[in-house]
Amino acid sequence: MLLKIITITIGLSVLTPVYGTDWEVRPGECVVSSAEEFCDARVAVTLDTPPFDPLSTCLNIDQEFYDCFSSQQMQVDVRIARDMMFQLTTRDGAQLDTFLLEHKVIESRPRRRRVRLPWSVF
Amino acid sequence: MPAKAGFASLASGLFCFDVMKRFFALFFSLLLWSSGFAQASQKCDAGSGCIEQDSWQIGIAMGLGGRTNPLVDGDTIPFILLPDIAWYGESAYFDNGELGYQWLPGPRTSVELFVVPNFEKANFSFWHVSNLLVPAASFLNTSTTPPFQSIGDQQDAEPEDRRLSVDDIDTRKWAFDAGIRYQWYLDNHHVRLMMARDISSVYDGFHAALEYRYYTHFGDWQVTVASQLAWKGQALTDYYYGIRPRDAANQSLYYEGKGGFQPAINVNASYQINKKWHVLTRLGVTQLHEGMTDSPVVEDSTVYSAFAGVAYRF
Repeated sequence: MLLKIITITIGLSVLTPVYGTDWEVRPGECVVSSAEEFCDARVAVTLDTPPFDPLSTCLNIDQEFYDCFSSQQMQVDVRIARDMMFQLTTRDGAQLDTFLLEHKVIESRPRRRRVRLPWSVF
Repeated sequence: MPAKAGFASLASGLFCFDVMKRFFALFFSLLLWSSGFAQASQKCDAGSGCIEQDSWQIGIAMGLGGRTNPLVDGDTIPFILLPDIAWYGESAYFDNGELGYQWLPGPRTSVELFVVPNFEKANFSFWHVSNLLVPAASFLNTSTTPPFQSIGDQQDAEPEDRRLSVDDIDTRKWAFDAGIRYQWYLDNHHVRLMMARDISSVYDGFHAALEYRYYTHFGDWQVTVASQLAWKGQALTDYYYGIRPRDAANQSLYYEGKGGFQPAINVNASYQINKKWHVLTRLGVTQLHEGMTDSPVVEDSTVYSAFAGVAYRF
């Protein structure tokens, strides 16, 4: 639980908005200090009108249908433990645009692969 | 063979033996081939055995297990407490007894020069663990049959008149090896090629190993399957398993060890309970080569190892 709280704190403190050409995903990335950490975040996906018509636009996350827009903005609660692909589609499923919400690991120190398996005395 | 020491003798000695020549050629072929790869390095996290540079990893595993001893009257080596101690700097490292220096010629390759104890001596040592951990060690030694022997090779036992107890032969010394290792990674695949030579003038010989590891997950369990083909040189085998006048008065028991290849497979599975605690399990089987098993002091042709327990990382 402590790790989770720390992770959320670290993550959200460096979550930044990233703007697509005609739509916005906010926050647009999750920055953590190790690969095991994640961000629990409420991601707001906002459409510019025009060109997008909310009533004919849907959202896929990682190739799976999430929901269709009923207004200009949709809010999505997600756990960002790896890169996530946000995809706008028509109601018929045709792709309109994509955005990659990145899970960024900022290494404080470089990692090295151990030459022996852990716990292998011999 | 005159005593030699250091990496100079290792390099010169490598060319003295055909088997080592082939290993050497294979080593540099792999190095040149894989250095051409220019893809991004694979993910390297704690679960895949990685460590932050300039840091220590210290842990202790507690459980029950052991490694069968193939020698006549050899004591099963109990695994009750397994330490895990590693430190990695920018290039130098210490990892569970191995002291080395590592180069990274490519994103998927590494080359190490290292010094490490040779663990062949472990078969000849009474570890006195029973003096420290009476209940566990007693449990492991309550039977005259090693714990995993029911799996297999009673038929490999030496005839009584050809058997020589490890308790009745001269002591063998610990040796220190210097070696070179090449490693290559591709996604879940990992290939290792190692050559080493005695630098302590104990057995004055070589050994080598080619290993393939595969890393995978089963649910939340991280599993590593490692298959290995080790080559034990004649000098190493003869020093530890040869029988000389100082070992036995009966000349019919004299034996000169010969080199050979040993296949082995090990499966490690770990489950991360939280950041500090893991569940660890391990199973391993090694088929000993005939140059060793023909010795009167060796009665089993297969060595089994197993461990199950919990591990704490400080």
